[in-house]
Amino acid sequence: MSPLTVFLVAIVMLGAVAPLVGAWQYLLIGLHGIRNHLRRSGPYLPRTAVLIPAWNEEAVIGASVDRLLGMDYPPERLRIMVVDDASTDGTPAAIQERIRSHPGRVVHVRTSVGGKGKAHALNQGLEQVLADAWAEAILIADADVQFEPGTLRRMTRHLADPAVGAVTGYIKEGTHRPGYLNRFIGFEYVTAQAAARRTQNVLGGMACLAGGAQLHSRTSLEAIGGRIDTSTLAEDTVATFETQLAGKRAIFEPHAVVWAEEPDDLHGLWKQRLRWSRGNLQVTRRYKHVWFRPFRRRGLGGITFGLAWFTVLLQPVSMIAASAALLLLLLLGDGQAWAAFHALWIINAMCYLFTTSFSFAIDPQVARISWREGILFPGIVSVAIIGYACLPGLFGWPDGPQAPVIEWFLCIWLAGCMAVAWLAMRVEHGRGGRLLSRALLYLAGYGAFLCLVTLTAYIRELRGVEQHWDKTEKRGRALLAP
Amino acid sequence: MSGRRSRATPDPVAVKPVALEPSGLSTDATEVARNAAERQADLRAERWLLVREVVIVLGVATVAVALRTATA
Repeated sequence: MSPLTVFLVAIVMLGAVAPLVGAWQYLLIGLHGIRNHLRRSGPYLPRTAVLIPAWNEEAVIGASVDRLLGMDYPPERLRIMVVDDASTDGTPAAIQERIRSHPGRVVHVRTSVGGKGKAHALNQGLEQVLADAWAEAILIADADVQFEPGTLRRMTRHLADPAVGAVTGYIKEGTHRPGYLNRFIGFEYVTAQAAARRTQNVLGGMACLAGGAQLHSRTSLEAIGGRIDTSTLAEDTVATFETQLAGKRAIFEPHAVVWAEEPDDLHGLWKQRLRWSRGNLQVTRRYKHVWFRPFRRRGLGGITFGLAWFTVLLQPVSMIAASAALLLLLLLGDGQAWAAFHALWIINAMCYLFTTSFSFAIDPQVARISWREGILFPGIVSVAIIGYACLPGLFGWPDGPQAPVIEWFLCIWLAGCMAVAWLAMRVEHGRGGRLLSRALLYLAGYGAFLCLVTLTAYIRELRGVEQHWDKTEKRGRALLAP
Repeated sequence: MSGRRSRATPDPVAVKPVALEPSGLSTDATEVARNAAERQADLRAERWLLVREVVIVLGVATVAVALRTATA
């Protein structure tokens, strides 16, 4: 093989890094049965102030407050403060109604100028909560999320250990009659929360406390300045990093379940995920002194933690590079394109088989609802390619596809799936668009859509496009348990 | 937007005397027993996940070997 061929094969194999790192993280999940924080938890029920930022949330706020007040937690130890970010709908009336029906347990704070974002609203609330000595812990919750009765006490038990500064719960997609996108998100949350955060518990470094359900001890919150960061779009990730850099642990509690309503159209999902992705890029820059420093910063600075963070962030780049390298190998015509393609997809196939089946085992409840979306997460085309890579003889081409058009297509698909995902979003609002959009997303894969979001986030960050808070519309469709 | 800022301050809540150690941990027997039971149940669930993982890893390894044999 020529040096150029070796180089190109190496670039192709870079495409296998993300699935391999993903599978490695999944392998570590089992250790959570041995290495977890439950043994150091205790019967601790601190006085807890629940802080809910709300901007035009009349459809959901009332039910959320009712649900929180109905939690299995000593009533004298739980108060709720809704920070109404100058809502112009019926939010203030809904809050006032709860104040009347639960005297002394609900507080209404109204900001003078609204729409500045969640972090600004939270800081208004935090200022008041921390000015009073009552609260020993602060639970930050989204206006739409529905807590199960035992969720808070499962979270507070970890604060019995003074080394723990913050705890997050498992946010599950809980839309009543979930659409195809809700089912994709439901499966995604198994992988990104129930799975990834268990691994982070094992590694001793948490990437992000879920914005909709994060519990902080008062001392920990005060140690990081008693304020939520407003300079990035990822205020929850910054709070998570700051908590850990201040010497406290951040814990994921998989049995503290919270149900949330997620977007049911690609445009809504795009807005939400673009904000998250840009936030993650900003966090990557901000904490450049933390990455890959295992001896100085255990957990956050660990090798596996860094690999997991950067493979997600760099996945669009590796997919485009692998696709381009495969095309060049094909053009060189020295027979290595098929070998590289085959090796890459065999690795993908094994990682896919392991992570998908284990995801179903982690949360069988979600698996029952989202099994199709779990199987088709990489897209119908990629699943077919996986099948072909595993059993090429079945397709009649044991030594690689003989038709040039198919060869080219297979090489391009790694990057091309993102273009199809883009098309799925573009056609969504046209005539018959919902159906076509859905078909295209199933073809390209939900994973391709997420990669496209990350790619767009790079471009917007590089161009310095102005960042603003795009609220995710909630219509009160979340129910407690599907 | 009204531009006003209002706050409904809660009435002081009569806090029941809760049995707490200086650390803030509850010493109430029912609470302690309940916490221990929940913790045991959750620990058991986590250990079961480890068992399921081992089974799945073995299954995937078997598939990989079978594919290797079939395509050799």
